[in-house]
Amino acid sequence: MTQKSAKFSDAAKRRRDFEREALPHLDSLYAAALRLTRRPSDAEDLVQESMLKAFRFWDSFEAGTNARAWLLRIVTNTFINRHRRKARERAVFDGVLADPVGEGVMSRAAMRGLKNADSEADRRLLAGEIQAAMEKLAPQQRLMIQLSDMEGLTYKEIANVVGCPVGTVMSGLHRARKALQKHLIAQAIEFGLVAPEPSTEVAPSPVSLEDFRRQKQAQS
Amino acid sequence: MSSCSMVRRHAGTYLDGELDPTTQLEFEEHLDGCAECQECVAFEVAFRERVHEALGDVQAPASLKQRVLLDLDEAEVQHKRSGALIRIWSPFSKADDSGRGRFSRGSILAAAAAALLLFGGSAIGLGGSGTAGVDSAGLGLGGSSLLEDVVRLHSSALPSDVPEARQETVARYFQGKVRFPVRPMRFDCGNVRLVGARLSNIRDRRAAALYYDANGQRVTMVVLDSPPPALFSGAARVLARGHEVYYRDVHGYTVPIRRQHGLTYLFTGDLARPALLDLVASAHVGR
Repeated sequence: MTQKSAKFSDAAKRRRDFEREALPHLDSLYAAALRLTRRPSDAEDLVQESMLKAFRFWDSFEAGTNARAWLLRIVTNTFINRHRRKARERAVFDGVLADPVGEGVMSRAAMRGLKNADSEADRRLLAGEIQAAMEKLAPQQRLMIQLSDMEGLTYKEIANVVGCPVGTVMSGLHRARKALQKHLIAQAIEFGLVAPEPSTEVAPSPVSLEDFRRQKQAQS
Repeated sequence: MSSCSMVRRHAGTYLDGELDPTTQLEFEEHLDGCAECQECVAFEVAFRERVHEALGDVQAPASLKQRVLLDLDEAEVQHKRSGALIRIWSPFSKADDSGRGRFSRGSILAAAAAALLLFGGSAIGLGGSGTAGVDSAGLGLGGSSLLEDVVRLHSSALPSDVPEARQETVARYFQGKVRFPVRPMRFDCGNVRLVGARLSNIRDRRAAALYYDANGQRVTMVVLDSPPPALFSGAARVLARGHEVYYRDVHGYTVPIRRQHGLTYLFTGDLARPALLDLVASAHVGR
């Protein structure tokens, strides 16, 4: 009898803990799911499935650690698993990251033009174009942008969520941002926000910081 | 001394605060003396502000939280698995425990009688006298009038809205009409076919009604996204096919209730209660 009530209160505590720790992150999880799936109904399904998994595996969550990152990781894994089940699996996730990204897309005039786009109309235009450009990124890149720019996660935390090395986060974010900027500048030129001008930047050099440090050490 | 190209290339990482301290100092030194690189960094800052504006703060819909909480309820119920459950006789399942294919007439009758006795309040069940037994516990809780709507929907036998009752056609039919994805259930028992679907109102809420034919008898399944919380509290519970099935009695109809993926499924049909409960226990959503 006492054993039974102890068991009951255990279950009640587990439920209470989960609701207290996990539910406040629902907005973050939904936002991340929306970046991954792009469709609100799919994002809802994804979060729902992930929360149920999280509840089942709640015992494996270490109290005191970052619950949001832990939950985001479950959302990401659930998304990958679904894709894998569907068909062409992880390539969906990794493919676009391998695309090379040109560095010299941004002229100074273009940068100034975009930076000083101050009118309400210009801003709305840019916001629409950023959303459109996001659509073209790989799910993993959209997720990285979301986690870094909106959720303020560190590279290490993002690496943990996405399940990749920290260097991949750094280059992935770099590529994603450059791709967004490239799209943005093309649209800005089209809308007459900035004047077309040949780029002045050149010379590809290593993107990874390890390479950078190695290069520096070699120089010194 | 960092070169301009190096600083520009890693401006993002610099702004993310992810450079190692030494490199960061070098970057800052360089930026102090380089207007062009300052401009690049200022652009990156402005760009991020734009991205922030464009992506905005996303809020999860209120219905999602509701669905998650219902999932947790369901997970907890499955977890508990109390031993006090009644095991029901299954009219459709193969004769696992009584010798394959050697069902004598006597044993079926005996099993049927046992099943009726087990279902507590068998006299009421046999009499079919409407609201009684389990039903009385649920009256006034808001759940039973909802169940009355389900029973009314079934007994009025309104025509199907879809011309052909295929799983995909039905799922697509409900898209945009109800706030949740409708995935027709499949049944691992007997001969159960999806025969129609209809958009209906259950207690002023849009609900999906699916019509099935079970060995020639009509079964109606109603899908809801947010049922009243009292729905389960007064319901009877049986164990069938390893699943817990809740049900209530309304106007002589048995209304089994199941939850899956945060949605609530209410059934009723022209079958006898054990057959209906067994059928419901065998139901699952095909992904």
